[in-house]
Amino acid sequence: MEPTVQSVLDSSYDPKKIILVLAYEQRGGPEVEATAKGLVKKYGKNFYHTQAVMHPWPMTGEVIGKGGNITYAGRWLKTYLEEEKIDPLHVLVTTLDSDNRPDKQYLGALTYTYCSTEDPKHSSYQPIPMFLNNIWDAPAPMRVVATGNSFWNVILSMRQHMLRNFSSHAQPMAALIDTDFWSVRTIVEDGHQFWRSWFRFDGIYEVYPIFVPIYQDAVLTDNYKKTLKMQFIQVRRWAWGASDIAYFANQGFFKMNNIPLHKKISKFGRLLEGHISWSTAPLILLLAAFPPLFLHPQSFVGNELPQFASALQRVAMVGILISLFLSMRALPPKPERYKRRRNFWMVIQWVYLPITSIAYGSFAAIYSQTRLMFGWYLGWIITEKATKSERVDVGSLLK
Amino acid sequence: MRSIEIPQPADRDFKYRLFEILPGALTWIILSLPITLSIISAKLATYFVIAYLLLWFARAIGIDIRALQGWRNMNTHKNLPWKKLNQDLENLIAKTLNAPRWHARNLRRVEKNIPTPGSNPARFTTPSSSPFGMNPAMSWNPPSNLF
Repeated sequence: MEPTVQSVLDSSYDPKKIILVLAYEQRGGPEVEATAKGLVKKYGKNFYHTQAVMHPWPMTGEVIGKGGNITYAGRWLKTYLEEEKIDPLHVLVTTLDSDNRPDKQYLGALTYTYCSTEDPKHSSYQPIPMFLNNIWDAPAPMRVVATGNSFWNVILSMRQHMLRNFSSHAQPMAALIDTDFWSVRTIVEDGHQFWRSWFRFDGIYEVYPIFVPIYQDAVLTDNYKKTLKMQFIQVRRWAWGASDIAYFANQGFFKMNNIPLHKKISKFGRLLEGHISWSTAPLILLLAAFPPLFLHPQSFVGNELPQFASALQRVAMVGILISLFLSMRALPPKPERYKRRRNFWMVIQWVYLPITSIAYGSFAAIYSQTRLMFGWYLGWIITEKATKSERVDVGSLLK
Repeated sequence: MRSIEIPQPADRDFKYRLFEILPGALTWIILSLPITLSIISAKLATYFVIAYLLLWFARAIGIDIRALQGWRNMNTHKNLPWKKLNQDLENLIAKTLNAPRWHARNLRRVEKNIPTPGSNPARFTTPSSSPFGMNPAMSWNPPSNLF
């Protein structure tokens, strides 16, 4: 928690232009309250204003999650800005989890982009989440997942027409007031915020990439088995984004709106395709070459297929080697406590890639989609991360 | 204004449920295709798998290129003098040395679009005396690529 506040303070940006709001849960107990208030006391004078806002518990009609917490804090900020007579269009809100550390340049890059965007209110700003904070401490499969996901976020930043909100992102306060902040009814309020805004503004809503990272933790708990499980829980929460498909259909196709049909169809198609690829691609690419062979051992094409597939896979390996090389350079410096041979394991870990992409790609997505299919809706479980155990989210609300 | 809230589970009608079932159903159908098609004909299954592999092979090339570009972009942006660029933006004068080419372009566009009290009073917000003074340029033009 404290490293996050510290990282915001360390930004190369005037902290007096930052309002820091610590959104914490009553559910977390007195300990969490003491931490939040302690931080306000310690860091308060550095920022324009600092405030700890407690989300009461229980709240009816909300899922247990970050959405309810940050929305509650957002409403507090709205009244505060009214009292201070600050135009909400001059305030940009970035929500940060307690393990998030924005790069020093994030606030500067964000301000620049916001102030030079043509329609700043109907836009949001997506930095690149990199799950690398504790990468040297995490076990090999988690390192592969974390590095893979970090790279995926780099790739997404280059496809602006398909860019959607994910994890930490920034949106103007003026727009948040129009959307009544974030959804309190889903565990993936970050990704959902894209659709919420898109439908609120009738499709006039763009996501701009900020090519500067927000560093986050890779999944790591005190024991190995639990870490494997928490990783699955993290990814299945992301995959729960499949619930936006029904939300989209309901808002886009069954309710009156002014969004052109072709725009809706292409957005819907991409959303659906993304979730289906997520659940099926790793399994089919790695394993589908075998069923024809096993069921028809005499078939010529059936026999050729695995060889053809493995030839393609070998060529695709070149791509993986490129990302491997890049990922080595992207790593934070090796902590002193590790010997040089740790570098070696950082390379060898990639043998886990086929397994992790099936277990934490396909299986997590299949799990979420199947639960959704049967109406066994997912509540929220906090992905435990090693650098912290308290259940607090920081909403750092920034100029 | 229409509601943008997700309906509570109890309020989800048949049509809504149908679209909740859609992704899962498609996933299970696609996953079973290599097996079900194999039962029908080995050739059919093989062609399906080959088509799938080739499609993803082409995609993988695109993804790799994006990874390289994105990586380069990120390193550039991490090391840009954002403080100076922001000052330029506030004064609308490109003073920063070695600034990327899009910088001057962005300044020109902001200058063109910045609202003046005369142009459109409805959308003009008076710069306040608070530290939150910088005025984002506003217009309804479709956004163009910034970088």
